[in-house]
Amino acid sequence: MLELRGVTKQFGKEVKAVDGVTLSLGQGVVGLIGHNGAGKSTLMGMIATLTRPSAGQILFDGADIVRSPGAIRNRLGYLPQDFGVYPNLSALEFMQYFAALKGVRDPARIRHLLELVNLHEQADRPAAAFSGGMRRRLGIAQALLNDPDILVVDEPTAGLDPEERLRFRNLLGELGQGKLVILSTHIVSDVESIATELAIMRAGRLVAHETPDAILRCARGQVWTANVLEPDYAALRERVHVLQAQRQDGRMQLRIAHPELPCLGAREAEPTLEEALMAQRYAVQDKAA
Amino acid sequence: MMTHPLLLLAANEMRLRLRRLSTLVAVLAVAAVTWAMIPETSGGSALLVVNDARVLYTSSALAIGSATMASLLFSLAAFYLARGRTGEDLRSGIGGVIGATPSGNALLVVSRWLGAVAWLVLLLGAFMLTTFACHLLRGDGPIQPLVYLQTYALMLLPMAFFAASCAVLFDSWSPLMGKGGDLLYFCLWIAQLSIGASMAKDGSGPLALLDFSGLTSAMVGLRGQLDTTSLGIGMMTFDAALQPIELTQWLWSGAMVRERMLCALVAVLPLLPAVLLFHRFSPDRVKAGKARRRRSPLALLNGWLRPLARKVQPVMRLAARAQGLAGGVLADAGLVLMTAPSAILAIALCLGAGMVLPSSALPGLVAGAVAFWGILCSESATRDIEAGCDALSAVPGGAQARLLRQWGAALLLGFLFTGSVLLRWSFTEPVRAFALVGGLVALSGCAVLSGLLSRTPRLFLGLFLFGLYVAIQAKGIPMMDAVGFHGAATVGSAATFLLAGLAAVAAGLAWSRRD
Repeated sequence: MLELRGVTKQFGKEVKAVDGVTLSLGQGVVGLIGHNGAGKSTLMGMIATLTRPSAGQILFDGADIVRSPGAIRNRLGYLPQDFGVYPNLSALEFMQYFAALKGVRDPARIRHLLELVNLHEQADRPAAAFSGGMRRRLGIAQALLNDPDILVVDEPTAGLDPEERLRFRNLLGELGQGKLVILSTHIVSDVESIATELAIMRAGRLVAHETPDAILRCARGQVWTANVLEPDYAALRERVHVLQAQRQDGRMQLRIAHPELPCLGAREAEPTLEEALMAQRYAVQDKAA
Repeated sequence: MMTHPLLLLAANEMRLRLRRLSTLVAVLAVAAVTWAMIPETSGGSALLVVNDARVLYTSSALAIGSATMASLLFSLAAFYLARGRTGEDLRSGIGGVIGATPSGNALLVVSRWLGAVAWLVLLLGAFMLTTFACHLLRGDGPIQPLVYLQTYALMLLPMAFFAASCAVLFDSWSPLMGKGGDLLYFCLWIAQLSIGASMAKDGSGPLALLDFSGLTSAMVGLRGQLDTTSLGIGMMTFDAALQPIELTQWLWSGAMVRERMLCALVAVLPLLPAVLLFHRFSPDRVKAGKARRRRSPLALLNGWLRPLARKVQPVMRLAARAQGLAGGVLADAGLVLMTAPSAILAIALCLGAGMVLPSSALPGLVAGAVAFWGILCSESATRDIEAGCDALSAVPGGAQARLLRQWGAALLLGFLFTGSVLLRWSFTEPVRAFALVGGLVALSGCAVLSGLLSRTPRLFLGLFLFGLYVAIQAKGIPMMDAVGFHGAATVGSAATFLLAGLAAVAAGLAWSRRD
């Protein structure tokens, strides 16, 4: 469905925000993971045809979207990271505006989407008065107006409270059936339960593109739990990567990322996706060092 | 039912503009201006005066007179009022979503233009309705709506088309999005006003197609009908002993109508480059934040003068030591100077020049200083909103304290710009010095109030530049001599400005209370 071939985005002569990303994506939820500044938003901007790659190609069903952006725009839903609303429009008017922009003429579609995101009872309220979570849901509703085949959502859960995050995550998981949903985040738990694939970016490069299961499998034997005395903890953390430390009755309950047994008494643990990714990252760092 | 996307989008543009508070402010301003410019003839002045005789307030006279004044005001203010939608989209993040939709550039650009034109026509409609009200009270004949409509349409539609086209073009092409575009349009406006001098006596020729404001066409039409060159429009004094003159009902010949229609077509031409150059909110071409501002000429100048900003650090230390409002005012003034170091240089030049220049050169210096200061005020009054930290800046003392702080800082900067001239005038021409103080109070008060209500610098900027132009041109009228440009101000006019400024601040404080 979507193919990226050596996509690069360079700002000025030195800064490569995205560096030679090659990726092939089909239906499902793809979690695009990386730290702030890893190049996720720039890559998503290129997929959304907002910005052009400095080099490389982005193909949608075989058509180059840089040359003919209309090919993807008709089938694209996009929710940017800094999505806001007009101060003087109700949610319904806001949706009507984007329906006009997307050539959607069915008023029932707007109602249906507002119901889908649970905003139908607030349809006539000014969108500016909405909470952060409600605005994001409105953003998703506008992105779905044209029943897109590709849904690009950039950091959709940033700043949301836990309840809204959970609600949003479930919504995106449901939408992932029959569509390609590309969801960027630096919070792994956002995609842990819904992503069918993970694409991991670091410093503009794609460092991994795997299923969550594969990443978890790779991390087996690299994540440990240990219970050490507080005085021993300082020395231990000098030579291992501590993922989590919790003080308990004068002892430290630890989760550690390490390629081999980190200390006597440590036990192999089932890694979470976040721990697996951290373990993977530390392994690369240690190798490079 | 309206279903075409173009109409839906244009209606939305109109809706967005209509629901802004600045629209109400603009309508009220329009009504006040209309009311003021059609004076009661018993007071010895009239809207139209020919060879010292007043022209009867018939529909044709009031239509051409009010449309001329409206054109003078709107041809400048309309641009500043109409532009800024792209900035709103960029700041809110909606721009990216719009750019990713399948809508073509032409649809996006033309719908914005239509929305802007519809909104401007609505303001002009408010202007016409207020003129009707004046006609009812002060007119010399029945209201003939068709006469009004013809004159307003022929004179003002090309102007509205052109202002909206320029606003859309300047918002579509990133190099013109900032202050550079504002200044360029001001130059275009001045150039338009000078078209009349370059045109043939009968008003024909290709330049007539560039007379978007219609001022030259109106003058040529009136002169042709009245066979005179002594024609005054505005609050003109007349000789009551002379027989009043009556204009014919229909002023526009077929040739003039054709010319105005062609002019309206030419006014739409800026939309072509707008469609071709539209940035589509691409981050490569346009950014909401600092990157955009860095490219404007003033921002570049401020970048070069950045080392000067260090000179302001003692002011900040002093502000920290000072208590309450005084400290806040100092800090705010310091912040304005640190963000615009060119103002430090301008203040130094104005203060120095004010001390050494001969008395005859002081009015020119004051005009330049007030122009620079007014532009600075328009930005500083909405700086916190534009930077997205208005909630943050309201924390110390609340929204009311912030307004007082901003007003005090604007006033302080005004005194810094004009301090040496004020000192000299206070010894030699105390009334003029009082007028300068009254003008600074009024302008700074209006700047913070309009910034608070409209949340954009452009409302004040448009009205300020227009007012400055009129004030510099209008010699001998005390109420036009806002800051003592001509020495015509009286104690009464200066006190009126002072009170108006204080009233604006009081209104701002009352409005802030609702936050």
